[in-house]
Amino acid sequence: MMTIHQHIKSLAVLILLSITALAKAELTIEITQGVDNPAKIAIVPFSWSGSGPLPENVANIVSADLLRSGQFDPIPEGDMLSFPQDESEVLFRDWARLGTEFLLIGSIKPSLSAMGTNGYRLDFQLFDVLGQRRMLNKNVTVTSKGLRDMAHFASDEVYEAVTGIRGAFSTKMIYVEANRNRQGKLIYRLNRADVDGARPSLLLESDDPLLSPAWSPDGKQVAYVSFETGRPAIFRQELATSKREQLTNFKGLNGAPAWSPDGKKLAITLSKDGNPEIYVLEIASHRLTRVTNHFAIDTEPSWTADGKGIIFTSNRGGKPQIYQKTLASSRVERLTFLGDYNARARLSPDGKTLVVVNRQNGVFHIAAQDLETGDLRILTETRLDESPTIAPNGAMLMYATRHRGKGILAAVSLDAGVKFRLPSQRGDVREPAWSPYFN
Amino acid sequence: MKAPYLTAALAAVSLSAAQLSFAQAQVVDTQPIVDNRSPAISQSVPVSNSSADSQAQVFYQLQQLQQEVLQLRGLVEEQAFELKRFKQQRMDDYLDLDRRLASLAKTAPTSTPGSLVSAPSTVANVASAATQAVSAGDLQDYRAAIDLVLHKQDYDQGEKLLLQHIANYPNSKFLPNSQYWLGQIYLIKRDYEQAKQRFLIVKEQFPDHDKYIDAVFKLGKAYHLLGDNASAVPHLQQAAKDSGSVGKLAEAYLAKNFR
Repeated sequence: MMTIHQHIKSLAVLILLSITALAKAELTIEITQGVDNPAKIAIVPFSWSGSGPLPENVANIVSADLLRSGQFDPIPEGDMLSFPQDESEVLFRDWARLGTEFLLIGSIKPSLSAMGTNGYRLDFQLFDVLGQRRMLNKNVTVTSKGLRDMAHFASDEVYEAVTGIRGAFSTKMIYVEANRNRQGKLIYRLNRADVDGARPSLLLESDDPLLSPAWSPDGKQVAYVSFETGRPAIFRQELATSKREQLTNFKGLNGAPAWSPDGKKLAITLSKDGNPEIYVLEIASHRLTRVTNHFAIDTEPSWTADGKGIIFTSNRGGKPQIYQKTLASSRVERLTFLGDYNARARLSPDGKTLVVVNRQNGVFHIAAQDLETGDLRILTETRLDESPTIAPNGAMLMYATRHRGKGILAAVSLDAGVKFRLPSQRGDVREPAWSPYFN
Repeated sequence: MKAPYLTAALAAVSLSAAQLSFAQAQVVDTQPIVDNRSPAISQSVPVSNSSADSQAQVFYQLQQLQQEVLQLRGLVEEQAFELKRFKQQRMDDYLDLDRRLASLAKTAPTSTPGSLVSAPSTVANVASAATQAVSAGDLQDYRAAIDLVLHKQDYDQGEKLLLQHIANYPNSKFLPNSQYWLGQIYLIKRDYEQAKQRFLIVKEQFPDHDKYIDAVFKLGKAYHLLGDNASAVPHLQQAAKDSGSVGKLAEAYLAKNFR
């Protein structure tokens, strides 16, 4: 009953969305919880040797990125005793006195590409203040519209140099936004944005609900469910060309597409044979293979990292729980045992952690289960949290929640140490999907 | 001619049930009815002598059974999981206990190198005692420890390795040997209480082992050195009855200290 309820809930929530605003659809960040001991970093405003002001403050974007990761505590510009632009100008003693552990300096200059287009080049260096040594010396060249990309690149480099984990600031997200137009009708938008919510761009606008967006593993396509044909159907869309293809048009439920790691197949839920079952659809040939066959509901598939197994939600044990089916052997194994409800599972990139929507004692959480030990860590508290999606570096996950009556996106680190919200300035935002790395 | 009506009735029931969001309602319209309508009906139920009522009855019972199966499956899954967890827990608890005992045995060693090990038996007969298959790591670790004790006389390191060996291979063939040699080390270190514990383990847990009689002799010695002559004498006398070298040593020890 719960599982069907959940399908209905997806629809119901969409239908209930009800907030109108005309402000520009940008997400802004609000940090609600950080780690105990973030590394103090000084990000010196980058110099600019071109003419006129730069359209973006690159150092500020880097600072915001690093702050959002929860691992860093950027010191205020006002505390800085000097603004070095070059290694020769760095006085480690001054920075150490401020308690700074790391120092980032850089300079931006105009760059003319071979194609003759204008762009920018950033040269930046990261220093270990206590060790008095240079950790990074890199440069990046971007187009005239790429200053945010430049900043995210620098953030990725700094994050990796300090934490040893690859940064995910340059990745993107897609999400569904619902707004009422002037006639009071709900309009659904599939948007793509930077993971900090900046630079949203519209992928698809529809009068009918859009659901379950999913990135292809190469980040070049998305799949989603659209009701534009009058019933749920799965589509895929190429991001570069906006070319769309309708992949399914079966009677009943067509939902929850999940790309296989090789990008050639989609695991989907169809109820064409009576009750929801998992199928695998080969995209090129449109060949359909049935994966589950049980009179209980099987839904919400996702793949294991090696593509050899499918993880799904099933109520075959009387309650919704997560199961894993190994495709070669057809062996089905139950993965979750804590709580009377576990659904919408996603595996971390290293395959060691399962993120689920979990219910214990009547309260819904987003929780992370260590697959080896079985330990469950509660990541979020409100019963409205849903649709968890994990960053490609496995450090953070984003989810949809409600805040002050509005659907918003929020993020939490997988160790539950850092939390932040990305409140939307208009409309209700839901169903986030964090992109893979693009290179 | 009845079949189409029944099918329609069933479909209606299953539809309304699905709308009420009962999982099992949808089950029924999977293969038999949707894929293969009228034949499925006539196969599953004797149509000729049944009314729509009894059809509904069967349908209802099927629903109940499926619900029951779902719950039973859930129970079996959960109990299998609990069982697995208990097994793991038992193993973890055992290892933890073993580690605690080992570290307890390691505390308070008074290190003053004393009289040399009087080794009544050698490594060779230890190895021959190992009749069953032995893991390479087990044998290797044991040999390394014994080499330290007997040849290099590095008792601190030897003690460490023996304790490790006991912790790592709780079922080792060499377990009595390891315990015995630990007792020897504690004797040398004049930690007679610990020595007594180790020899007691050999005496009580391995009465058939080669080292048994050696352990009895050393246990007597440990009791004597602890000042507990009442416990020492019976052990020494038992050891003195041995026909081998241990008997002679025990006899000599008795003669020297108790006559």
